[in-house]
Amino acid sequence: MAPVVPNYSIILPTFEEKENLPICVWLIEKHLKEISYEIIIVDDASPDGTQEVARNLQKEYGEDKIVIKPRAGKLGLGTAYSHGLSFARGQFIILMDADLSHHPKFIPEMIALQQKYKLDIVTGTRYKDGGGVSGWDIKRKTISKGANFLAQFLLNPGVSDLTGSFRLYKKEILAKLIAESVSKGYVFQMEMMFRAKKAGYRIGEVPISFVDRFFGESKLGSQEIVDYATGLLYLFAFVW
Amino acid sequence: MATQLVIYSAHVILLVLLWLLAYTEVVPLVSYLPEYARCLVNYAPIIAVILLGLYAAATVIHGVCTFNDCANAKAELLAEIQEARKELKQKKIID
Repeated sequence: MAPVVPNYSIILPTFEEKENLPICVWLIEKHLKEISYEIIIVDDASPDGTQEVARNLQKEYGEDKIVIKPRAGKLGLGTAYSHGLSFARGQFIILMDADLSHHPKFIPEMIALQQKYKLDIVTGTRYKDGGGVSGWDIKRKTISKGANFLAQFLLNPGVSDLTGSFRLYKKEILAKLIAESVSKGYVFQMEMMFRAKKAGYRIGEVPISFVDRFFGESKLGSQEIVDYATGLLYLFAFVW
Repeated sequence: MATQLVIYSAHVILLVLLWLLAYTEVVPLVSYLPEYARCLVNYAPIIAVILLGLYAAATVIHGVCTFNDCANAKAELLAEIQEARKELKQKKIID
């Protein structure tokens, strides 16, 4: 049988996701039955055996569907995406987290919206039309809303969720945005979206329910807040 | 295209210039106004900053109060995780 070239490449960057990765793949398989896709797992040398689980998944679902492209160490999110992207066969790339906070059931909605309006990017939003977050206390909500208000006010991006990382991109556009963007972490997602808007790409939004991770730590400390603020000011003052 | 900083500065500088014209009475606006309105003109920059702060606080408080908690999404996901674990164990993908 000749290998079928998938239309969609889902890039899953992982680090210590032994628990979540198989469930994430199972959910993708369950909700994307009608869709031609591949999953590219970019694992940053997790010591917990994430790659073993990935190989088990590959045996079960096939090498055409599960592509494993590990890296030597923890090298950051931006480069994980470009690493995964260099092996992607699909015309469209879906970025999501493997920690179950992003539910694959929203991917068909993103695809439908993209097709309907011939969009360049579809982003999941937690802040509009029924989107939301489960598992946040009032402090986390306040920080999130405050950060989002600042970003909306300063950058006026026309997109309600700038820091989300559950998105669908046209392949060549993602490659271009990754190459241009220099920020790290949350700000990296924001920079890509801000640059996309400035470049005039067509962007749509799908409301998503974000379930904060219950296996493992979700980090938001003062360091993250400082990084966010400096990143935001960088975008405000230096990017056009 | 310009950076957001340049775009914002252009607006702010324009507003500041207009205010200075009124404040220094180069444009004799104040003389046509009743006493209480003069005070408003004089303190306009401070009032603007306070209003902006109130707008920011109101937006964030409103956002937190109307935050969608999507409890259903979590319950649904937990059920799916159970189902997934069962099947993945059967297929010997996880122990």
